[in-house]
Formats: sequence, structure tokens, C-alpha cells
Amino acid sequence: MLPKEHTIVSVDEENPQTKTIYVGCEDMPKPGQFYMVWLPGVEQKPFSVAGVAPLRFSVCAVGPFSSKFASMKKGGKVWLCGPYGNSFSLHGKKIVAIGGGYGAGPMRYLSLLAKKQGVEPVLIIGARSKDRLMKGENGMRTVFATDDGSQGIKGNAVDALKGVLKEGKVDVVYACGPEKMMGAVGKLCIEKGIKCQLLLERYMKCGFGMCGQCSIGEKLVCFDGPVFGAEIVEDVEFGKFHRDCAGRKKIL
Amino acid sequence: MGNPLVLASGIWGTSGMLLARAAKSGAGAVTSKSCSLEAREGHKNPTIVLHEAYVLNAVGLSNPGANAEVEELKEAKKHCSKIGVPIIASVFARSAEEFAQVAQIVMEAKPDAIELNLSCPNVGAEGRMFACVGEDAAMAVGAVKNAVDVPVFAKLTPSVSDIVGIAKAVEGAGADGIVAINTMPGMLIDAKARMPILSNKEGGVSGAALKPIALRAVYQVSRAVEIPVIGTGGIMNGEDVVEMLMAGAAAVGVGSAISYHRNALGEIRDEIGVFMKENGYGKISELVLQE
Repeated sequence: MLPKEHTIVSVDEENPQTKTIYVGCEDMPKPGQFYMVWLPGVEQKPFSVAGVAPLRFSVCAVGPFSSKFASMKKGGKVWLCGPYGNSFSLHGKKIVAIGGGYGAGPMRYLSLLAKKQGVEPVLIIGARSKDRLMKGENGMRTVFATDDGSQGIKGNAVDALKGVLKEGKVDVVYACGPEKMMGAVGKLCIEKGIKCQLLLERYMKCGFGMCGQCSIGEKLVCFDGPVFGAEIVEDVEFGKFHRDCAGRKKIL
Repeated sequence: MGNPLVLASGIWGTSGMLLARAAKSGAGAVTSKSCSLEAREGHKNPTIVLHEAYVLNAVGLSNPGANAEVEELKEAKKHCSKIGVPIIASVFARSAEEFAQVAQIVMEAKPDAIELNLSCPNVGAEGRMFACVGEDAAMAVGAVKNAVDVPVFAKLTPSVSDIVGIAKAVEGAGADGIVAINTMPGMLIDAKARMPILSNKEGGVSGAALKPIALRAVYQVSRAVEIPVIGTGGIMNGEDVVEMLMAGAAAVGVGSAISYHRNALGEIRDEIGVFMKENGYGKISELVLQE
């Protein structure tokens, strides 16, 4: 599909680096799906859906594109292609949704949807420190974890997960964040025999299975994912490298 | 080849493992993404635009460079040779000598053939595309033929006044096959953005819209040369393959179709079989036009 113009309806500050941008678009994509976001004259990059009605994206200013996107204001225009990719499948009675860094956006969306469907969610939001944490969700049990202990428990998202697992049975664990974190979550879940779904991130040129830039082994993140079962952590390429815009292998 | 389908260059060819996936899912042969002597980052996004009727791209020949490409080709070879699927290594360069140099580097991975992507600028000829002038194209083919001992295919652009003349020139220079055609130059503009969609402004059209242009080129070229033609451009289903074979192709490239159907290669391969069965054909070689 060709890119379509939409207007930013509001912007919410999550922390000094991260904004959640609300877009006046009536699409109802599922959690896990993503859009290619084009800012004419700047660039185009993939962004995971962080909520619907209105459609929103959590944008952390890490490079030139995301810095520009994160600095946009109400009334600004963005061009979207999508939604692309598969989505999380919700099941079980109790779930844990883990968001590391800006990965918390899609996990908040998933938790809200779970609650609506009568599934009990525990949301874990992790970051290096308090000033990098994303916000929790009103009325949702949220466990914060920071590496330096400046908010919530001192430790990473995996430590927080271990804590929640001690309390009782969890049917499915969902995670989105740095690949090292997801690797640890995936391994823990495999070890404990808990179902697990991970939302992966890769550099993409197209978003629809053509360029091959987002490959992990024989899989394409845009086409076969971006949501994968925990077994993806056992792929020879997972957590090791990604491909940059030239297709060069870059260590993660 | 187990079937006439060839994964076209530029699709999935970034990774050896993905080339292996294409081979397992139904390609009779696979072509890697074109590589050059040095790594290239290509253009900024948007680089690829998908529409129901066409794909427009200006990726900008991004690649990790020939030495890194050797590793991907080796990985592909490891998997593809087990199932008898040949690998075509695609290369491009800025001069005939450099074409030979890049081809020699990728030969370390023992590809089954080399494809010359001649739709790139020749710095020795004021930057005009190799594929636009018969003698430029022939120089590149001749240089690579002297440097390698596997079949060499020349990939031609449709954006010329006389594609038959270029085809005869590369045949004369010793090319073992012709890949026709590359994408057709094109452009898209977003009216609200008041800007071209591609960061490079212009790009190449592939997908369904390219089929009539490709069929005509393959029809003309295959009648003018003795060497086989890999007919590429706008192949979306099994009947398209049959038409391309009838136009005179010896094998058929599939590229953009993969964006529309998850298992396009396998589906298209099976559709060829269904068409032949339903229409009373026993062999691929029977798929010729009525004279």
C-alpha cells in the first residue's frame, strides 16, 4: 500500500527521551503489528503500535529519525504504511507483559486488551533508570524495575519476572525490549515450561518481505513476525547480530 | 534445475540463509543480491513502495561488499547444494575491469553462475549504464568471461531503444545467458507531501505492471540470440510463467511476487504443474507459441 497522510492529535511525554504520539487514524491494528512511518524529507522507519483509538506509537529519540518524530507536536503530519506483520495471540487466565525501554508501548496495549478480554495481566516495565522508564497504565498492576534501583525494584525486567512467577501460575509471558532481555526471558520460559511470545525489532527497508534486511536465520521479522515464540532465542542468529542498511552484520 | 523458477536478484538475497529458504520453498535456482567491490549503504528510506499493481524501488544497490558477500554465498551454497539448487551470484561494478575483480572475489564461494547487473553507471563512459550501450555491456561480459570459469549471464534493462542489439552484443562477447529484464524506470509523487515518495526521487518499476514489457523484450531477444534467456518481470502466478516460457524464456525469474504471497515460489511452481495437467502438456518444452 502507498503511504497515507495522517495528523498528530496529541503527544504525551513518557520520559525526557520518549514520547507517545497519538495519530488521527481509525485503523484497529492488533498488538505486535507495526507501521512504516514516513516523514517526508526525513526518512521512513518501522514503529510498533502502542495502542488504538487513536492509533499511537511510543517513540524514543535514539537517532536522527526518531528524534525528529519524537519532537513533533499536535497538528503535525505523518505518513503511514501498514499495519504489517503478525500479532500477539492472547490466551490463558493470567499473563505477564514485559516491556524493556520503549518496548513498554506495545506491552501496555497488549495488557489493556487482555483486561478487556477477561485475562489478568501483570505489566512489568523496565529501564536502566527512573528517567528512562515509561509510564504505567491506570488500574493495571504494574511492576517497575530499574537497573540502578531509582524506581521500583533494583534489577532488570527478568528479575521482576522471576518475582511475579514465584507468586503463582502464569499462563503466558509476553515481552518486547532489547534482544538480550528477550533472550533471557525466552530462555527462562523454556526452562520453566511457560508459553512465551517475543516482539522483535530489526532494521527494515520495506516492511513486507522483500528486502531481506530484517532476517534472523531463515526468518524475516516483518513477514514471519515480528512476534515469535520463545524458540526463536535458540536460532543461531538471535541475540548475536542484525543487518545494517548495507546488509553488513552488526553485533547486537 | 528441478523447475524453471529462478529467484530474481534483489529479493531476499541479503542473506545466505534466506537464499536457502527460497530454494527450499520452490525456486529451481536462486540469485543473490548484487554486490560490489566495497560495501554500499544505498539510499535512505523510503526505498520500496508496494502497490497492488506494481512495486517501485530505489534501494540504491546496498550491499555489504564482495568479501562479506562471499560468506553469505558460502552459507547459501551449503544448504542449496544439498537439494540440487544452483546459485547465481549477482555482481556490479564501475568498470569492466572491476566487474572481473568482483566476479573473481565471489568465485571463492563457488557459485554455479555469475549474473552481471549491467544497470549501473560505467565511470569510464561518463556514467552511462553498461546495459544502455552494446559495446559497454560487451566489455563487461568479455572481462568477466576471461576471469571466471562458470557461466556468465548478462542482465539487461528495458529502458533502451533496441534491447535486441544489446542482447546480440553480449552474446557476441561470450555471455552464456541473458536475464531480461531489470526494472523499468519510474517515479511516484505524494500529492499531500508534495514530494516524490522515494528518497532517491526515481526508481525502478517491477511487479505485475512490468509483465507486458518483459514479455515483449523476452519474445524479441529470444528470437535474436542462441543463448538461453531467463525471462524476468511481472511474474505473479503459474500462468505468467507459462506465458513467459511461451515468449521464449528458458527459465523464469520471480521477485516482487514474494511481497504479495508468503509462499509465492512454492505456489507458482505448483500452479505451473496444474496448468500443464489441465491443458494437456507433458513437458515444459511443449510450452511454445502456436506459429
